Formats: sequence, C-alpha cells, structure tokens
Amino acid sequence: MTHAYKNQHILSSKEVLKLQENKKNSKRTQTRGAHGDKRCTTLFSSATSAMKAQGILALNGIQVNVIKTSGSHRSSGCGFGISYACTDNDEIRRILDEHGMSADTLSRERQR
Amino acid sequence: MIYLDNAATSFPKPPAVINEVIRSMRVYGANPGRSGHHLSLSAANKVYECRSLLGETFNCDENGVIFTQNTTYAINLLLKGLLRRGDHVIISDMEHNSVYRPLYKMAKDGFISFSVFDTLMGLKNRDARSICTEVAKHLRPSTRLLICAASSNICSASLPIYELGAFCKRHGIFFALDAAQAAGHTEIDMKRCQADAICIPAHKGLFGPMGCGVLLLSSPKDNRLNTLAEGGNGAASLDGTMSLEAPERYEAGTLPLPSIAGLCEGIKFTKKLTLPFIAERERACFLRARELISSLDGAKIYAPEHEGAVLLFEMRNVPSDAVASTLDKAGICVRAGFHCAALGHRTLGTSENGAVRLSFSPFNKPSDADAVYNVLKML
Repeated sequence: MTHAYKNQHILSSKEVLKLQENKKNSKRTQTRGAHGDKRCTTLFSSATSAMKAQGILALNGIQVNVIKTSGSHRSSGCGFGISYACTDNDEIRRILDEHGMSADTLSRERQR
Repeated sequence: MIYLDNAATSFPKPPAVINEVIRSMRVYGANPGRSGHHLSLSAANKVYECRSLLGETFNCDENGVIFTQNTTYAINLLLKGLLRRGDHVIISDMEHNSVYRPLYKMAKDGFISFSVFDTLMGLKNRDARSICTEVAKHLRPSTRLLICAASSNICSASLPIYELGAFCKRHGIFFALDAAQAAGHTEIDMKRCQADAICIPAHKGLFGPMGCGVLLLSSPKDNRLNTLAEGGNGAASLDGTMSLEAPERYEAGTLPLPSIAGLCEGIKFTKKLTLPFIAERERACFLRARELISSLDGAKIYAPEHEGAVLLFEMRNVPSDAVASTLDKAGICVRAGFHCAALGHRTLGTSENGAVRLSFSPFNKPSDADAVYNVLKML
C-alpha cells in the first residue's frame, strides 16, 4: 500500500472543476440506480480518499457518487464511500489499484 | 489608509475571498466530513477542492495536506508529533517564536536538545554552500530534524531551501520549512526542495481568512507523526483511536470551513496574479522605501541588501512604538517592536529597542513608501 502511493494522481484546479461538473452527471447515474440497477459501494476510511477516488474515476470517464456510510457498513463505525453501478466494479478496482488506492483499503458491498 | 503590515496578515483580502467566505456560510455551511446529506457533502467537497489546490500549488499529494488552526499549530503538530526523547534539532538564528518557543520548552523539559546555526546575515560571502557548512557544524548522531524559516518575518532575507533540502537528504535528517512568510511570495516546490514538511498560513501571502493554517507532509502514509490532538473526525467513529490515514488522522474536531473556502479563492488569486508579478511588485515597494528612508538623517535599515516584501528600520532617538504611532495617526499601518522573533532580533542587533517593520503586498504601490517618508521626515 505504501509503495503504490507514489503513483497517486494530484488533481489540478481544472480537474477539480471537471470533477464538479461530473458530480452533476453522477446524480443521474444514481437516479437510474434507484430504478433497479444494482449499486455497489466501495468504502474508504476518509472523505479525502473517497473524493480522491471520485476524481480519479471521473478522469477515467466513470461517474460515482461520494456517500457517507454508517456503522452498519463497517465494524469501526462511519466512513465514506463511493457508490456506482456494479457493472463498473472491475474497472473501478483496476483504476484505483493503478493509482495506489489498493484493494486492502477497500471493501465492497452490494446494495439493492 | 495605507496598510503595510502584511507580514502579520494580508489586507485587504480579494473580493472573491470575502464572497466565498460568505457563500460558505450562506449556501453550504454544513459540517464537512460528518454527515451524508448534500449540504455536508458540498462542504466536504469544498475542503477537498482546497486540499487539491494546495497540493497542486506546493507539489504534494492532497492526503498530505492537513488543515490546522494556524501556522503555529502546524509547527507544534510537526515538532511534538515527530520528535522523540533524546532527539536533536537544528534551527536558524532567524527563527520566529513559533519554532523557537516549542523547541525551547521541549528542551527545558529535558525532552530534546537544539542548536542554532548562523545564517551569516550581513556577510558578503553568504551563499548556499557557506550556509550549509554552518548547518553541518551542528550535526550530531542524534540530529533528527532541521527546521527553518524559508523567509524571515523581520527582513527580506531567505534561506537556500533547495540546497538545505539536499543537505538534509544526504545526512538522513528530516527537513521542515516554516513558510509563513514565503508562501504566496515565492515558489515552493515540496518535491524539488525535498522538504518532508512545510507549515503555511492561510491568511498571509495566500490571502485567505485567519483561522486556518496548513501542514504539508511529503509522505502522509508513513505515520511517523503522532497526533497532537484527538477527537471526532467523521471517520471510524466506533474506534477509540484516531484513524491511521492522513489527513483526517491529524484533524480532530470541526474544520474551519469558511476559512478554508476563503483560502481556496485566495490561492486562485495568487495564481492569477502569478508569483513573479507579486514578488516584483513587493520588491518595487521595498526599493522605493529603502531609497527614501535611507536618505533620512538618523534612519537605519537592517539587512538592506535583502530585497523583498519586508523592510525593517529604526529612527535614532525615536522609539519604534512612537514611530508606528505617528504613522498610524497619518493613516499608515505598520508594526513596531519585536515581531515575535527573539532569535532574529538578536541576530540583527535589534533586541534592545525593537524596530519598525514595513511589509508589502501586491495591493501596495511604491508611492505608499513616499507616504511613509513624508511622515518620517517630520519626526
């Protein structure tokens, strides 16, 4: 985990603006989810990591929502996660791994 | 009114900063990183935007961007989180009390020891190599840290941070910068200067509001740094310990959202102006002030050869407080006295009477120096 960290991406201000624009689009993804698509959640231990993941994924064309997760999602209590269509699960895992956000910091759950 | 106390805090603030502070309280003023509703997530997003912007500006990962109450708290977090019993620290002879006092207390308590290196102020052969040689005189097997001000708060002298960073790497010691007077004035590239930590204020050269400082860490995941304060941070709430992951690990309690939101716009403002423009404007004010004040009978300028945002002077037979008070009556805000820099005043020879400090920002004009001169010549 520590070694992969060097490869993490730092967002420029332009990318942050793009991220904000993408967030608007991601709301539509969530709406589709509410109509029956299977949604997956990847959990992070901090809001910073969840938002960083969101930015990295947005630059790779994948829209996700940052969500707050409650104690029912993790044994140590609340945290943050990203919510997305489960069809993107493998691709998301690959991209985050590439950016040093390795799988051992993540856990995935399925929601209906 | 002419404001020449920008080393204490910059004034005025750009309108975009003020507007964003107001917007953060009117539009998205929820607690960032705590709740899952859209307002809290919007607030968290603004905090993240600021982290990213700081990371981009200082070339470090946003996970290494830790928000604190101010620069002093950032320095205390670094010193008290990093140092272990028996460690030795090297600092410069121009340090602010924000570095000197925590170390002084830790040394007095018998926890650590520290040495002060000569920055060769006033010497003609003052270059990076000779300064590194001075630092080397203080190296010990127990030396863990070199921490120094990138730029002084009482004159425009600066240290060769890139060479000092390389020196520290060669000797395997932690390198930290107090960039309170350098951030927003000169470029600081964390990776290029090989700094392990940089402490910066929101409210000075970056034009943010007061109430926020930043500790930048180059390796936020190595957990060498202990926490200084513990409490809620919105993560792992059922655990008794703080999470292991920076930056939240070091951010106990609610973050100052309005200050962070304002800082975000302040950074954008400095980027828009560009650092070379800012430095050139401040230097132009300095040069005019130096020219005029040095022509006055009884005036003495300290470290005049260092040209930049800060000019320190005294008027013979007139206490510095009286000079500042007279300038204030004429609508000119400056600072007099000792400027929280015991070591620096000793080094410059102003520790008995203090001195008057003019500190410039890009909002100043060289003609502001003329206004100072017109008052001083009447003393």
